[in-house]
Amino acid sequence: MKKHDSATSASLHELPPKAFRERVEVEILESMRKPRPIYYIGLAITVTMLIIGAVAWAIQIRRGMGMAGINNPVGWGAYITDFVFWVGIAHSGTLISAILYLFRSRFRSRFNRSAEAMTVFAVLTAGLFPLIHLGRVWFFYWLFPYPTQRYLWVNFRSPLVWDVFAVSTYLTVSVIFFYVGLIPDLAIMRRIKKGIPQKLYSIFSLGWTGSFREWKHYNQIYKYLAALATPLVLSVHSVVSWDFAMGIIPGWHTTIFAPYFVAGAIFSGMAMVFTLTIPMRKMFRWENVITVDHYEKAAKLLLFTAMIVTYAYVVEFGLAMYSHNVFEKEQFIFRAIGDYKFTYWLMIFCNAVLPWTLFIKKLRRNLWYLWVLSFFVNIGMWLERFNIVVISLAHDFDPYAFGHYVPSATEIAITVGSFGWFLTWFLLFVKTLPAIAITEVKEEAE
Amino acid sequence: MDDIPQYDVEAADVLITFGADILETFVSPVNFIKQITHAKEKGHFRWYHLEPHASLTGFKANKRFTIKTGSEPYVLSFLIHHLTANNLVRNRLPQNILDQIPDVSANQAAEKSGLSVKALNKLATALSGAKRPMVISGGVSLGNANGLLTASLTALLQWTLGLIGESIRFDASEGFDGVGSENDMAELRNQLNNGVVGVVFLARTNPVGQLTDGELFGKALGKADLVVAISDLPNETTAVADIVLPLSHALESWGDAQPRKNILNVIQPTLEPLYDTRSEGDILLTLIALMRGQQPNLTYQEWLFARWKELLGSDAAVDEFLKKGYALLPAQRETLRLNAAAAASLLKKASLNAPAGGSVLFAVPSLRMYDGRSKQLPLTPELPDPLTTITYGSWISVSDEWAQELGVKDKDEVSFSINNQQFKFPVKVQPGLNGHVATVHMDQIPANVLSRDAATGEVLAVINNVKLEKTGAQVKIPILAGSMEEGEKREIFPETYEDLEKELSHHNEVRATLYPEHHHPEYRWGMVIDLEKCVGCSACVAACYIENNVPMVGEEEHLKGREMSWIRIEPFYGENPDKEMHFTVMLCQQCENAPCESVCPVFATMHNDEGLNVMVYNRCVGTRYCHNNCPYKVRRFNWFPPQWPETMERMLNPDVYVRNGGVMEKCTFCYHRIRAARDVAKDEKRKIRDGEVVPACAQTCPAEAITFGNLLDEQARVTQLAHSDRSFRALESMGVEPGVYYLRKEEIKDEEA
Amino acid sequence: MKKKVLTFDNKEDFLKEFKKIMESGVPPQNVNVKLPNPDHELDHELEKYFKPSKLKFFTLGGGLTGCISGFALTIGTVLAWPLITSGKPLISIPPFIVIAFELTILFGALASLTGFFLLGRFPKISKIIEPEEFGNEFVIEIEGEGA
Repeated sequence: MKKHDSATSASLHELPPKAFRERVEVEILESMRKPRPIYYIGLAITVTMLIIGAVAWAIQIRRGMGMAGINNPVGWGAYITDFVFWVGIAHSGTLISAILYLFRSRFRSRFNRSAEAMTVFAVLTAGLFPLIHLGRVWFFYWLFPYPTQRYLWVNFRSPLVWDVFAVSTYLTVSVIFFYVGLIPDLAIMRRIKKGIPQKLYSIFSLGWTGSFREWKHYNQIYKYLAALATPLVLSVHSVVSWDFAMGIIPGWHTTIFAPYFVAGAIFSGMAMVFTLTIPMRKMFRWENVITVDHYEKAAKLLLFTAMIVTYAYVVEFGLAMYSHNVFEKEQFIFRAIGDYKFTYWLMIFCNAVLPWTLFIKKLRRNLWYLWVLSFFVNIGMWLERFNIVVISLAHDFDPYAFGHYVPSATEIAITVGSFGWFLTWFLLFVKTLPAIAITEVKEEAE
Repeated sequence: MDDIPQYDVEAADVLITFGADILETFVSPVNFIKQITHAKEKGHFRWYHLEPHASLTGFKANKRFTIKTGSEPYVLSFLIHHLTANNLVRNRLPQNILDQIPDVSANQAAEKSGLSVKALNKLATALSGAKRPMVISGGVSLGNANGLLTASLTALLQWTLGLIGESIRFDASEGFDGVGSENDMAELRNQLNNGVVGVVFLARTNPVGQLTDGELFGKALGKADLVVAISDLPNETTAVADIVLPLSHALESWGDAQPRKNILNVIQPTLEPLYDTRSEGDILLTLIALMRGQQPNLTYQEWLFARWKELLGSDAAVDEFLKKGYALLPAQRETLRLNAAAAASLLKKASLNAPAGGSVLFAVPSLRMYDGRSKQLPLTPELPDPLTTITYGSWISVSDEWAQELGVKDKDEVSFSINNQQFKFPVKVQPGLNGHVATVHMDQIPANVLSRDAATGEVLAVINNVKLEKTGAQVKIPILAGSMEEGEKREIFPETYEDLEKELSHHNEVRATLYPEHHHPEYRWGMVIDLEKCVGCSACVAACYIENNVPMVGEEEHLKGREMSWIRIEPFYGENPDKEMHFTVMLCQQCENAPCESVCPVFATMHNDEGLNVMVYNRCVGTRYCHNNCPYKVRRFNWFPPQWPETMERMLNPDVYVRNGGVMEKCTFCYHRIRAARDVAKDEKRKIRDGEVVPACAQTCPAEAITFGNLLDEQARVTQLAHSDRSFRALESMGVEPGVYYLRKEEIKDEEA
Repeated sequence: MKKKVLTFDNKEDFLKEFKKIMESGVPPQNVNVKLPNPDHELDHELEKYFKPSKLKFFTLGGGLTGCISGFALTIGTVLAWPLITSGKPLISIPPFIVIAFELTILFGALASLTGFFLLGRFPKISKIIEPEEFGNEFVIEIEGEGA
């Protein structure tokens, strides 16, 4: 494999169109070479994490929900936090794929494949948690709308049923979107690979020939899926946020949740894109393909959503104080100075203080800073959901019922397992499918 | 007459108690609670309670005074002399007695006791102005060095007020004349040590574990020829016995009981003995027959029936007795006379010990386990202590002042010693305790640590000059209440008149709503809980556990905050605990617009047309959203599948579903009882009458604080109470329209009291 | 059948030649054009000659079906077994809108995918067994008349 110099993207664009297209293929497919040992080590780690989580879940099913640390009054804890966290991560994938597509943004093409993959895997991960947190998980199918033996359906007024519909729809649409976008790239893989993999790529590319008769349908479905996916992404996290907003306890019952959660989802999802793609870029030597400019544009999006999230924090707190509602006021004061003040202030720091440093151009263009910042943002966003779920439950109306919650070993193991599950899928994806949309980058040839 | 009389508190209009914890463990708390309720119903009832510590009884009295321990004789002396001097007494005491009672002035009494002169005068005025006063002493007021003197002076005060023979009588006395004191047991111990005793039968008693010199008694038992223990549970006494004969459970045996001299109760078995056990009667009859060389052929049951026929007169009377469960025996009304000479000489001999200063520790019998004898029952530690809401474990209740001095807060460990035995307990700050006062429950310390009064045999519950030392450790004890402070202007339960006025102004307004009206064709079940009558005894909680097969989850789960009680007593202390302490009874409010219902994804909880929020156990998948959405947090989740140890499953109520792990549960207003009543009414082709359905909690409450019925029925008691001017609902502003109404606690302004 | 294949390295050359061919009167059904990547400008131009895709009608149909079935499902089931929860009206439109909305999107997407398979004639079994090269050049293939 000939080593290419550290030319900038400009030099890539200096190539004539066909050479550009060929070069793009070569550079991007660097990621699909035979894996080095570090890949296997990474995979081993993520699979171990996954096994830890699976074993913990099996024990929980066998022994009972009491293995988790949740109690009266805190009936939801780490699992629901994880659920909202993963759904949030999923959102930025669709944002990048669908919404930025509709806005015809140019930097989108470098991230959209990984982001879409991230979406699919994150939704798969998120979809586990409504099962994990069920007291009688073996009856999970009762949550789906079908007539039971007594002709009883589900309660469509319940936000959890909305979740079932929203997350299932989101998973289906994301998979469709991901797959459709992949078809031309699968055709490219079919051309390059040999043996069994070639046969598989051939099957999944459905016999794609690249003829305009196919492209015209492809363009339209892509456009309409993007148009469908945009309101979907807004609605899914709104629906997930309504799991809380439909509750009546102070800290949950507020109308700001839908936009607040959607902005937060995009925020945390963007951060996860950074967490995953910055090291990938280094490992696969994609410096030419994804440039610092691309990251800077993405960082501006991150900053924008951070500003919305900060605004939401201020509004929430301010309205609670202004409302003179005894319970609302007390809940928010408790958040700031009560049992959980550590998680509260850490969240504020990670989400509403650190990201504002992105106003400084130098920091925006520093990829290591972006990478470290993305970890803080992910921690901060996990803590935000934790704070909303746990602190509101721990301190609501009746003082006798105030309580405390600490995640148990089982919950920590399953959370770790969810990261293992997600990362395992992602690592497998990186080596089997092109992690940058080759066909879309080729569009920039002229 | 060597017995405890019946006190007619019901008819009283002023009650003064010195230390007697009549709502907790004094003689017969269920009886006293009921009497207090009836007294309150009559109106114009005022109750003043004087105690050196803080007890449930004190908090429920209309006015609670803190006195220095041992100073009761001063207050009593003052009252006797003051009333006598002003000719406010019914019977003037003979002069030789009056001479023996120290002439304590108001100022002197105030100084010794710590009460204000105003308070003393108020007590005197209350007594003198009362048509039917009542004075009772007991508890920690008698369990100190001045105990005998306090009891004597109380009796004299009662006599001089004309209570003896009128409202304090012995025709229906408690039946303690057959009960020995610790001094009697010490006498037995001497006999044992002298080798005079041959065979000892110890039936249903545990002297080795419960006497203050139990250890010595146990050693003395070794000197007897044969020690036979007849018991249903193993204890310290069965451990030293030579033979242990297992006793049948009360549910497996025939028997009778005399709670009062004039009442006979029947004990009937519900099943054949499960194991190889006998009742005491059968054991003794068999032994008697064998001793006589005869074949045992008379069962206890036959013996009892013969005895009852004798007592009650005829077979028909015995039938009636078995059906009703009790029979009234003819009472003997005795004329009681004051033995002036004996009283005077008693007073002369008594020495008035100065009330102790310094720090005091009280060992009080606990409401839940008395002195520890019911600790073995799984339910008793599962229920929280009403004042502290602690379930499992031991603790020492300390005043706020003292805790701050020591630099400790709840759950910090302190060490202290009683009679040279060291203890390390976590602290619980108890509002209402003043000064350097701490209390410990008797069930948490071994009985032999306490000493007894040699003259009377009374266990001395007061330990003077106790030192508490912070050890620096923290102990995990389950304190179930998240917080017992109401905070200012918290709108859950309006406490002041002003708050209630605000509340009631909304009462008759029809709340504007987007929702359709609820349609109740026949019944709308509702409940009214009178917070004035409720004394926080937690009997309703215990009843609910048993009736509804509620699992008992144990200490570890309690530490995680996972208690399972469907109904609970919530204590709340205000800024001034003497004035602002009340219990709230919290259970599922069966809201019309229950927030828990719409969030269940599978319809496992929904509203039926009788106004109940129904819980469908077999449909629940366990998402717990309903639990999160309940503003009162009354729903309970089965975190683990409940375990019922061998034979305990026979205790389960067959009318009620037994829930498995992963399923939500909550109070159902004893829906199985509503169903049963409906079936009966359907057979008789009528509607359910008021009073036919009584949930377990209402049935059990000794204070008759819980009323249940059909709110659609204008004539029903529950409807009338719900529309009274004392009624309010919890968290009314939420708009959930609860079906449980509360009657506000009486507020007695200072001037009135 | 006579077949002419022209390949181009860049977009402009391809477009010029394509327009020339089409204006010379070759019937569009004999012409096949292959692109290495989608392009908005090309779409626009090429659609003048090749009929635009009808996929959007699948999407529309799917979406409408979804919306209607969403309301039908929710309202139908709640009328079949009217259970009161929280005193809310039986036919509660706001939550039912959420369900209908999600089903609109779901059925719209599924219908679009179905339309994509049907209209694009996927999967092309012969092309799976013997794939046709999808490379980096613009290709014009003319078969039959005009070759």
